[in-house]
This record gives sequence, C-alpha cells and structure tokens, in this order.
Amino acid sequence: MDVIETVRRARAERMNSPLENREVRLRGRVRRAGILLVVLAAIVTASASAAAQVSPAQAQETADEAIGRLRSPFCPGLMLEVCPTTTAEALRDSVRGMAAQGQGVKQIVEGVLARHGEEWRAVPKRSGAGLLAWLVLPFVLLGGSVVVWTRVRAMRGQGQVYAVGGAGVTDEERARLDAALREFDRVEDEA
Amino acid sequence: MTQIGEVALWVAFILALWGGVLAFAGGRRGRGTWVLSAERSVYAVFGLLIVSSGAIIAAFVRNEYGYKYVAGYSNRELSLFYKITGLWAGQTGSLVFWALLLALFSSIVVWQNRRKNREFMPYVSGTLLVVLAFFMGVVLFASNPFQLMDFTPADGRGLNPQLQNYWMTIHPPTLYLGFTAFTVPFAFAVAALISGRLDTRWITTTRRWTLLAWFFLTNGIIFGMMWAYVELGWGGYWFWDPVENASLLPWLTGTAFLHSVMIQEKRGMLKMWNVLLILGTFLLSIFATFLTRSGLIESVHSFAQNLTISWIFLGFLSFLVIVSAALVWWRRDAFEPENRLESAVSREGAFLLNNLVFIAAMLTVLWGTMFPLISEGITGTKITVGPPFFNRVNIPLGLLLLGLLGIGPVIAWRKATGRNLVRNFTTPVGVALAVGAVLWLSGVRHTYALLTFVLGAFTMTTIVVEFWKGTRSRARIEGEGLPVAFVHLMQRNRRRHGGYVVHAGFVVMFMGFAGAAYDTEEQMSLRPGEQMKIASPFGHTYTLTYQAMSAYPATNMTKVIASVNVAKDGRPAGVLTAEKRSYRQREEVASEVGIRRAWNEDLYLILAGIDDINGVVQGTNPRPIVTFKVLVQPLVPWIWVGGLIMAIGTLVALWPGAEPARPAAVKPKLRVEKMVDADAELVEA
Repeated sequence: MDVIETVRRARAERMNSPLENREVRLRGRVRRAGILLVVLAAIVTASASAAAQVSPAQAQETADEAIGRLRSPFCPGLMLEVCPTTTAEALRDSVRGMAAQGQGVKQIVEGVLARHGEEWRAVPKRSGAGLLAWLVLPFVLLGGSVVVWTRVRAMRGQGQVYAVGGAGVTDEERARLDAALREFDRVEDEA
Repeated sequence: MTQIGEVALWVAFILALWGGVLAFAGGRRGRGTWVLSAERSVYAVFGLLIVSSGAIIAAFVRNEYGYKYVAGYSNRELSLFYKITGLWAGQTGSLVFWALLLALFSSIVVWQNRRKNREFMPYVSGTLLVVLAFFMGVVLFASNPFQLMDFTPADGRGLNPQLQNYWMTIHPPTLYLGFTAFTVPFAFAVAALISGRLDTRWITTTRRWTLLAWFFLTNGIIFGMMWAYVELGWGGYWFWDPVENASLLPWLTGTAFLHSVMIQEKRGMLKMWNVLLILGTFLLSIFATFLTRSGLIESVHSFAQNLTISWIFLGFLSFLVIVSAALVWWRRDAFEPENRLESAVSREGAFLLNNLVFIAAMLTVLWGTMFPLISEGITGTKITVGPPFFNRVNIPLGLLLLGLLGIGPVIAWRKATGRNLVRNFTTPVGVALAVGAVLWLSGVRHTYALLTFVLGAFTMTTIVVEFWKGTRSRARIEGEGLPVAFVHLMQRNRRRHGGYVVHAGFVVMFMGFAGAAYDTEEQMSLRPGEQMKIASPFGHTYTLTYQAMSAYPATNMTKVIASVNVAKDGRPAGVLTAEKRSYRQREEVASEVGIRRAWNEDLYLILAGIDDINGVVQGTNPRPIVTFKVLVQPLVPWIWVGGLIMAIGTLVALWPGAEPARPAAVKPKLRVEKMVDADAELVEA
C-alpha cells in the first residue's frame, strides 16, 4: 500500500509542477490535432468519392452529349446515337460507363477517338484545321454583308432614284401611285 | 424488243448532238429552217427516250436477267410495282429516266414557244439538247443499262430492301423532276445572255417553270424525309447526309432566285444576280448528281459508286462553269439596273437580306459537305463533319429566315416609313411576344425552340393579318361575304397569295422541326405481357405492353412481327406493330417501325432486337425476349402538314389565271383589289 501511495504522490507532484503541466497540455493538443487531421482526411476522401459517383441523371446527360458528338465506326455515314448494330450498342454502353465513372464529355469523346480514330469525330475542333470548318459562316455573312452594304451605298450615293431605262415610273404614274396608296391607307384606317 | 431500246437510245443521242449544233448555228446565222429542225429533234429525242425507257421497264417485267442492270435490281418474286420502278432503282436506269424527264420538259418548252420568244428559242433548244446529249452519252459510254452478261442467271439479285417502300418509289422521280425542270430557266438564262435580251422577259417566260421546278424539288426533299422517317428506323427525318445536302443546295439557291426575281420584275434591279442564281442552281443540280453517284464522300446512301461517271460529271460541270462565267463576263455591261435602291428598310432590302441568308446557308452546307475532302487535301487528315455541325451553323440562319418571312411580304417597296412599319408590325410583334410569354410560363426553356415559336407566331400573324385585311376590304367594298371575298382575293393575285400560303407552310414545318428539342426515348427488353412506359412532353404517359411475336413468309421475304398494345394515360390507344423483314434473295434484314400518329406527336416503336430470331422463324420459340426502342416525337406531324401546305400554296401560285392588272389599266375609280395590291403592284410600269 505504501508503495502505491508513494507513486500517487510522486504523480501528483509532477502534475502540479508547471513544466509537467505544459507537457501534458501539449500532448493533448497533438492528440486533438491528429484526430482533426484524420477527420479532415476522411471528409476529403469521402468528398472525392462522392465527386466520382455522379448522379445517374448527370451521367446520362454526359453520355448523351458525348454520343451525340461521335459518328459510328460501325455504320458508314451514321451517327453513333442512331447506329443500330450491336457493336455500336456496346460502344454506347461503354460511353455510358465512362460517364458513370465521372468522366466529362470531352474526356469521353477524346478517349473514344483515341481508340477508334479521329475520323469519327462529328463536331470539328475549334482549333487547327478543324477551325476552317467553323470560319466559313462568319466569313460568308461578313463578306456578304460588306458587299451588299457597299452596293447599297453606291446605289444610294448616285442619288437618282427612278427612270434609268424605259421601265421607270413617270411623274403621272408616281402621282397615281401616291393617290392609290393614300386611298389604301384611308380604307385601312376606316376599317 | 429490249434491243430496240438501245438502238433508240443511240439514235436519240446522235439526234440530240445534231440538233444542238443546228440550234446554236441556226440562231447565230439566222437560219430558221435549222432552228426548226433542231426543235423537231427535241420531239424526236423525247419519243425515242420513251421507247428506250419502255424497253428497260419491259426487261424488268419480263425478268430478262441476261441484262446486268435488271439482274442487279430485280428478282422473280419482286412485285410488279417495284419492277416498274426498277427503271430508277439503280444508277444506270436513273440516268435514262433523268434524260426522259428532261426530254419531256424540253418538248413542252419547244411546243409552248413555237410562236413566241423566237429570239430565245434557238439557244434554249440548243442548251436543252446539249444537256440531253450529255446524259445520254454518259448512259451509252459509261453506264449502259442494256449491257448483257456472259450468262443469264435464273434469278436476279433483287431490289435493295430499303428501296422497297412507297415513298422511295416517288422520292427519286420527284427529285429528278425538280432537277430537270430547273434546266428550263437555265436554258432561258443562257439564251438571254447569248441574245443580249437581259430584261425581265426571260424571267416572266420561265416564272412558272421555276415555280414548277421548286415545287418538285421541295416535294422530292420532303418525300425523302418521309422515307427516312418510316424506313431507316432511327426516328429521324433529316441527317445532313452528303446526298441529302446535295439536294438541298439547288433548293437554297432556287428559293433565293424565286425571291430575287421579284425585285427584277418590280424594280428592274439585280439582273446579274438573278442570272448568276439560276446558273448556280442548275450547276448545283449537276453537282448534286455528281456527288450522289461518285461515292467520294461517305454517305448512308449506298447508291452506285462509279468513278468513271464521277469524272465525266466533273468534266461537264467544269465545262458549264466556264461557259456560264464567260457568257456573264461577255454581257457584263448589259446588267445596268433600271432603278436604284432607295432604302435598306424596304422590301428590296428584306429580299437582299433573304438572299444573303440563303446563299450563306448554301455555302455552309456545301463547305461542310465537302470539308472531309478539303481537309484531307490540305492537311492529309480527313476531318469529318456531322449533323451537330450543320445544326449549329444552320439553325440560326433558319431562324433569321423565319423572321424575314414575316417582314418581307408586308414591308413597303422602295422605302418603308415609320407609319408603314408601325401599321404592319404592331399586331404581329404583340402576338409573338404574347406567345413567347405563354410558352415561357409553360416551362419552355429551350432557346431555339422558344425562338422558333416566337418568330413563327410573328410570321404567321403577318400572313393572317394580310389575308384578313384583303378579305375584309373586299367584302366591304364589293359587298361580298367573307368566304367569297377570300376566294376572290386568292384568285386576284395567285402568285402573291400562293406565296403567303407557302410561307405559312414553312412556318408550320419549322415548328415541327423545333419539336425535336423535346424528343423522349426509352429502351427496354420485355417478355410477352411485360410493360414499359414513356412520358410525352405534352404531359401524357404511354404504356406499351408487349403482346406477342409472330413470323410468316410473305412475297419476297419472311416477316417477324412484334405486337404491342398501347395505352395513353391508362386508356387503350390501339395496337402498334414493329417488324423485321428478312429478304430471301438478297439475304438482308430490314426493320419496319410502328408509328402511332396524333396531331401533336408521334409514338415511334422500333424493334431493336430479338433474343432468338431463328427460334421465332422456325416456330420453336413463340415467346422470345424482345428489345424495344420507343420514342415520343413531338410536332413531327407538323412537318408533313407544313409540307402539304407548302405544296398547296405552290399549286395556287402555279395555277393558270389572269395576271394582276397593271397600273395602266387602272380606271379613275380604283377597284378595291387594286387598292389592296397597290403597294405591291402599282410600281410595275
């Protein structure tokens, strides 16, 4: 019993010394920090896992979009989405699988093209030679607008409105036209 | 008998060459007898081509499998109907058919103009005969339907199963009618260029021909869409396939031409532009034929692939381009406009924008179609361009056109005043905004679909208001009832009001296209008695119960049919069947879909797979597991209804009748119809 009592006292003395108190508090902080780190790591891991497990609806949407950007390697001229062969169905399933694993549209499309070949891309890239495909519409619209605008300005700049040739409208016809249009407006307004 | 057809083709070819040379020479030297001889050769060529085509059909009907063409596209079990249509089932016969249609149109043109347009006719006949000679030359030297094989097989290979469809029998002829009819305005444009008569006469002379060509081409394209929808079994109707695109190209320029000629007729402007448009339309028709038959670009249309023919077509196309460009350059000083554009805010301005959009659409479709070849040529890598690309670049253009449809017909010629704009557009803009608001509140959020409905409402309202104003004014002043006044209004200016009807059809068709934004799809494997459900965007629920599977032999094939009971919102809504057809002679399997049509949506059933098809055919497994793919396609019926309305509108515009009275005929007391048409008609001098 004396021995036990002696040990207790010795502990109590150590506990009461300022040096011993600091050491104990430090140990406690380290322990708590460790627990916090473990919890944080668990949260991060869980979050990453949740990110990989996309919802079925999201996965379906991603898969549909990816499938819609691919031509079928198994049906000449057809898109993957409508190719009726079983191999095409298997490829569609594989795309759905990739989407379910959390892969994005671009990643899936590039993955499929890496396996089957670039020629099955349905939407040209907006870089490199693919950019040429996209440039034609703005080029035509811009160029066409410039041509039309230039022509219109040139026509208006010449100032003459009527009667370059024999099919022009005479003053008498112009007066009759104006009268007819006035009459037309009057009838409409009355109605 | 069949050999007579080949002889007739040879004689027709020589006559066409002879007539072509005589026509041009007679025209330049003023030798009437030469021209007359050339015109008679047109009739003779037509007669000879009837004999030649009749001989090919006879060979099909009489099962003469010694002929390579007959053996390749027919077999004994094939029904008589498809044997007759075998004339245009393959490349060789379709070229003869093309020549036959062109000869028919050429004969009509020569007969119609036997006492008028005599300064044009030598060159018109000559151009038509040269084109005819080209087609017959291709047939005789590169793709002869009368080619005999070394032996005569007991039976033929049969017709491609996908061509054994009603729509496929009328789709190619209608398309060919459109392509060939565009040769007539092309020939008149060439004649106008050679003769130097570049006023509106060649346009007014060919006005109905242009409309007729447009009518056939439009319907040919729509029939092709119908065929794809019911036969290809993937639920789509337009796929931006190179061959589909090829038919769209001349349609786009032809439609631009139909609008821009009105500016030349009313204001004497855009003369060179109109010549270029019609030359371009015909050249694109030839280009379409080249693209269809060359096989240079991968296509779902596995029509013939013949590189010899491709090179011949390419050579002819180059020849036509050079000749056309040279003629336009030669007459470049004769295109002086008779009037000037007063304001961009006018009908002329709207038509110019319309033309710009059509040409932009044509060039983007052409560019996208040829891009795999172009990219391979430039970079060595083939970069393919699929439907998503075409949709992205063309949908905005289509929406712009939809808006212009509403603006063009009602905006004033020369210069639109603020009053004109307010008077014509207040109601349509109000209706469009109201429709947009209602749709937004109903949950429609798809941008393009929403824009389509808003712009469609705008355009449709302008059309309805135009009809209403005209009918009401006529009813008040002439004392007629509204229905009678409406009929008289339509009769008064068929071209204008027919055009309105065509525009209305176009709007309805576009709304049908917009429905695709809300397609729904389900796929499921079922045992007999099991069910699957699919929701419609209109809030309905379809329940499909797989009933049974049956198999039986039919002419030329064995049919395997799955029957499905359909319930809509729990109420019985009929039975749908989807089939697999196994064609004996060609050993090919084709799918037949089941479609339940309603005014607002289609329920589309595809038999995607059968787990034991052999067991079903042999009768050992009457209850196989079947995989069904089901789609609900909202507003698809509107596409076909829109097409029908467009056809009716074109027929109204085409129908023979008195032309609208010209201002010179206006009496001091204006009649109401002249007032109603005043802003469109009185500028004519």
